[in-house]
Amino acid sequence: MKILVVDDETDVKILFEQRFRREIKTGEMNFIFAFSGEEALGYLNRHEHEAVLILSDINMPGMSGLELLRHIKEKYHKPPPMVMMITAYGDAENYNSAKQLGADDFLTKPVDFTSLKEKLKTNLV
Amino acid sequence: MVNPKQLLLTIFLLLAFATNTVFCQDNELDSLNNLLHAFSLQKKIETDTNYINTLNALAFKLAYYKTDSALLLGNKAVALSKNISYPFGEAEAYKNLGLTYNVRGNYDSAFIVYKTGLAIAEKNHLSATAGRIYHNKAIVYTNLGKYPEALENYFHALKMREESGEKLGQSSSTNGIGTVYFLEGKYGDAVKYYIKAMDLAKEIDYKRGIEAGYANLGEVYYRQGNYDAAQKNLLQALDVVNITGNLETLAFCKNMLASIYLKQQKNDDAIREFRESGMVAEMLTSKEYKSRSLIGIGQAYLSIHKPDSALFYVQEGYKIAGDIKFIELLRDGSEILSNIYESKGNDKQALFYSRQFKVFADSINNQQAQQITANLAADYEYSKKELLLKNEFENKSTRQRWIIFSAFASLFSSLIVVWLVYRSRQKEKRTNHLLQQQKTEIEKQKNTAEKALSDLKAAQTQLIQSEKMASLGELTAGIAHEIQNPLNFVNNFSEVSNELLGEMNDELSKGNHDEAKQIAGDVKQNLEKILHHGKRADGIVKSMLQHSRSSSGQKELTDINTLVDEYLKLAYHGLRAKDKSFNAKFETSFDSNAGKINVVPQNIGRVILNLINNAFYAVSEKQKAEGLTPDAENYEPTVTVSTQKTNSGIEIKVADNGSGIPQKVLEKIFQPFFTTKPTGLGTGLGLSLSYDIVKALGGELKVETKEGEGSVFIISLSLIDTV
Repeated sequence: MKILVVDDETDVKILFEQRFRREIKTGEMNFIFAFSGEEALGYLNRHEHEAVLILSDINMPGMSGLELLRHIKEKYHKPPPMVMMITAYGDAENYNSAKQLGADDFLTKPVDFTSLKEKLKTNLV
Repeated sequence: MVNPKQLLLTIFLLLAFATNTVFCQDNELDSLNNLLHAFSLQKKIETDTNYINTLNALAFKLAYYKTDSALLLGNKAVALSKNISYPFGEAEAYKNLGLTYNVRGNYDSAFIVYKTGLAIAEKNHLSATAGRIYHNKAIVYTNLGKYPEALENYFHALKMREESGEKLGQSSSTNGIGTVYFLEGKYGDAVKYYIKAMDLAKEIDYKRGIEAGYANLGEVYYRQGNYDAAQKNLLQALDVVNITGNLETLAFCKNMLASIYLKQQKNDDAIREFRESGMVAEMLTSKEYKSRSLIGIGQAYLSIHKPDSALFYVQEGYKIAGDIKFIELLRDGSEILSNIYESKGNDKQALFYSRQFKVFADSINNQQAQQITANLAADYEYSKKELLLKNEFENKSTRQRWIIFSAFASLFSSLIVVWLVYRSRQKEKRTNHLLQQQKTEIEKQKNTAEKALSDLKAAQTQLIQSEKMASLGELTAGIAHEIQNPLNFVNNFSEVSNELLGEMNDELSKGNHDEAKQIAGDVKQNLEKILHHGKRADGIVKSMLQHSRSSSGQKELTDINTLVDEYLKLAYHGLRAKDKSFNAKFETSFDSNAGKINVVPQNIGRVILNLINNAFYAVSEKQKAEGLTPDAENYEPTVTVSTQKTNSGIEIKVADNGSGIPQKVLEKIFQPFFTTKPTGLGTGLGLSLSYDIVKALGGELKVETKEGEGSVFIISLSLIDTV
């Protein structure tokens, strides 16, 4: 399964590639990166029939993670991909609106990679 | 409420010029023009005194409206009068020229032509003209706050007008004398002259004079705390207003009456009169009186413990006072607002307004102190002159006595001379001592004034500092977010590198050198990332420190694109942290040739921050407004920041697609204390400080705006400082 990571910080690519180097090596996980909500939507449009798990930051310039979430949940019905939201502001408001829009999980920065790995593994089964 | 000095001056000026009513009627102008035209058809008009008189009449009318034409006509009248030796025409022409210069605020020129006109008038015994010129001079001196000179000229004017038997003029000048005494705080003398002026006006049934007399008396008595007498006079003034229909006096009297009721705790009466005064102010489009009335109503509501109503009215009035920069009203308004908030238990706002009150009060005290200093300096000059005249006189008499005595008894003469010299020396000593005392006193007063000035400057600095701190507060959340991101990377990359080194060891012991080498490469890359993000956090902390530092920093070569980018992010995250639901697109377009510029980075940073904050505020306001309409979906709030190298330097543009700035507001946006944000949310200093900063850099801050479409703020910096 593919995991689409959406964040405006480009260094997350290197970070994820190292944090998940074993899983990537074994082919257990496959990461794709998009650096804005718009770019993520573009990828999803081009690969409509791929099963993807999405891991998105909320605070991004332009299209925010929450907007991306709304687009995804409205548009892709069959079945809608799983979306996990990440934010630096671990406040109730962001959490509630993410849940309302149909987010499957909610993580706060700094990301705990051990628990993220666990979550991804259980979800990928 | 306080004394409406401004209006008093208006009334007094009206009275001063009432001889040839100030309000110029078009048909009157037309008829004068027609007359001139008729003259121009005749031959030898240039030697016709009627023609010159008409020129003068027209110049007088135009003095208030078309000063250029008035000066032209005046000079023509002077030249023609000279040609045919017509002193009346010439003196009148100079009088009009003086008036025109006065209207233009060109006081030096006014005094010069008045002097010439007076010389001609007095030489030819034209007492009516001389009276008018003295009177006009007195008005200029009054406006300049030079009261001793004003009085001197009024008394001269009065003398001339007594000679020529003009009752109306006498009444005007007497009223002027009363006003000067009033402004000097000599209320007893003011009453004396106001009554005299009114008696003169009554003799010739000159309604406006009577009306002004009662109104002015009302004000003096109010100042003296004699409210009954004040009320009686104001009501009499209102009776006369019924005949004259003079709205200025109506607004003035209603306001004074209301202030009296306020003092007497007759709050309902006060509210009624303030309301009426406010309505008249509306007709007159007098913002000052509008503001005065609103603040007055609010004060009355506060007295009857209706703080919410009070707040509504005072806020309105305070806003208008801010629009017209009427410091006295801003002072009173902020004091009452502070009291209102205190009674509502809102200590923060109460404190804010009590601080505002202090700033405005200091500013007024400072102005007064300067006035006092100036008057003292004038007194000092006078006393010096007096001393000089006295010495001259005494020297002369000493000489005379010496000649007489020497003729009688040469034996005693030398003794007497010695004695006289001794005596005059003693006298000189005494006067010198007196002079010294006066000097010390003046010195003391001057110091007080200077102290007030430096206090005001300190208050101003504090105000600027508080604006800085306010914008820093707005930034804190943005900064926290901006630092959090690089720190996360630093932590993550260190942690993962640690793991990688462990793996590398394993690979090495297994003998997998290639694998180990690859891991080493990753670790190296991570260390670079750690350094990069560490520096990034460092830069943010540094710029935050620079922003809050109160002393002015050093000029340094600053990469303009980096600076703009940094402040854009800070502003964006700051706003986002405050309002979670807000989201705006921001676009950047940086000219890679923009390069570095020699500036104090935190200064220009503040300007950029301010403009970006404003832009985000504008789009978020529009978004809120659009949220109520079906078009909401189509609106995408966007802030665009761009840099551009131009022929003459660098341009930094901050554009938004908000609602734009209405023309009415546009004129004021760079003025200090002007803000469209709700009370307490904006200091009104952001753009004004930005403007000053850019100006100080030798640059320009401009704005282009279209209502409904958005605004663009452009900072242009010249090439001289760029590298």
